[in-house]
Amino acid sequence: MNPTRYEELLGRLLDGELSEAEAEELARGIGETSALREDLRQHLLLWELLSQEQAPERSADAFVNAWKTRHEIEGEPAEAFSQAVGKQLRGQSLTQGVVHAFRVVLGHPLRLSAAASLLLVALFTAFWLSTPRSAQGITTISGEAVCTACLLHESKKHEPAIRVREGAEARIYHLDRTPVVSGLQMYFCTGPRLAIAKGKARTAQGQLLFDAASLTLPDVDNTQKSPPKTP
Amino acid sequence: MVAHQHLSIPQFEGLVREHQVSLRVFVRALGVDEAWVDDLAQEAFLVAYRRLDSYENGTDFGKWLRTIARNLVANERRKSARRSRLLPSAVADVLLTQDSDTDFVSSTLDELVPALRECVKQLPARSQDLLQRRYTAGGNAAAIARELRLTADSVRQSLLRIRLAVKKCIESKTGTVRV
Repeated sequence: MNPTRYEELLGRLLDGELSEAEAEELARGIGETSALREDLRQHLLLWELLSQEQAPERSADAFVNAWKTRHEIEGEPAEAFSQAVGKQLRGQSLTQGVVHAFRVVLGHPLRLSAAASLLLVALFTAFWLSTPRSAQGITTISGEAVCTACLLHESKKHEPAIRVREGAEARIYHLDRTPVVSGLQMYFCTGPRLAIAKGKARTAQGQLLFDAASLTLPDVDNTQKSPPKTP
Repeated sequence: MVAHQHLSIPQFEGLVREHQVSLRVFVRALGVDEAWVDDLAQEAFLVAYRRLDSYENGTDFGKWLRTIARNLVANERRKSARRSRLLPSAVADVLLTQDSDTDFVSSTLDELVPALRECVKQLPARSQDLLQRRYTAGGNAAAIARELRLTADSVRQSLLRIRLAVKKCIESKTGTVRV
């Protein structure tokens, strides 16, 4: 690969504009020539350093805060949950408990019928709570502010969303473009960062949508937004 | 001195602060897309915190972190291109598999950062402005071109010339940039 072509492809790579065909060509070049490979690594390193230096949302403080937020969202609830469950199960095995409950319930037909009714109600409630719909009231979601384009790579258009993690799964709530959300897109593009939104969730065309009545990004100052009050 | 295995969150936070720059540049040089560098580096710190009991006290903590990060990046290769957080797969493959060493730069970063600042400061105002639009505001060539009423191609060319000039300037101050 001649130096001019390498530099051309290098520039496109650093600007995130390399096509698949160009990527193959560049990969062949750097694969064959260790000096080019080294040069590419050096450029990646230098411009990453500059980005960290210049972009306020990539400062050390922002990074550490984002890490703490992720730790709070992803780590502690799971640990707290397992500790709580662990306490309840200590001294009695789960199997023993379930067998005992079945013995008690199945011992009487009336109890059996009541248990079946309770089970149906519980299943319906669980389904109701797990499926956001417009008929539901105001709800609060807490998760990560993310952009559908720059962070999720789901769309070309930059749209704000909140990612709520549930164990290994994540739900994406696409935020309506209400006054509450407007003007905060940059914080979504530079996330993920903690976001707490209060509003109504609904589903449309298989997507979770969220009409936020208020939105808070705790690690960014002065972002708590609510709709303007009418006099 | 507190053993790493018994660190509280505030104590571990000190380690995150200490190692975040070097881990992020390491992750980027392994071929992670620029938009995902922080995400992946944070993930490496989360994994490290959860697995602190497997860290051997007295050994190089930065190197241990980089090994975790390298494994995370390697796992990314198994994802489909649409979900991957890496550069185009062909390039990422080469960067990940060929001479990517966890004995990395952290010591030379102390030298590099001031040199980088100095070399950027020496650029003409117009070049500094372009870099700022690219790296502070996060604009791509097309967006910058629209703002400045230029063609995207001329912005790309200018950015490339600036990058080559800055790298040359840094090398003249520090010798080769070691990765």
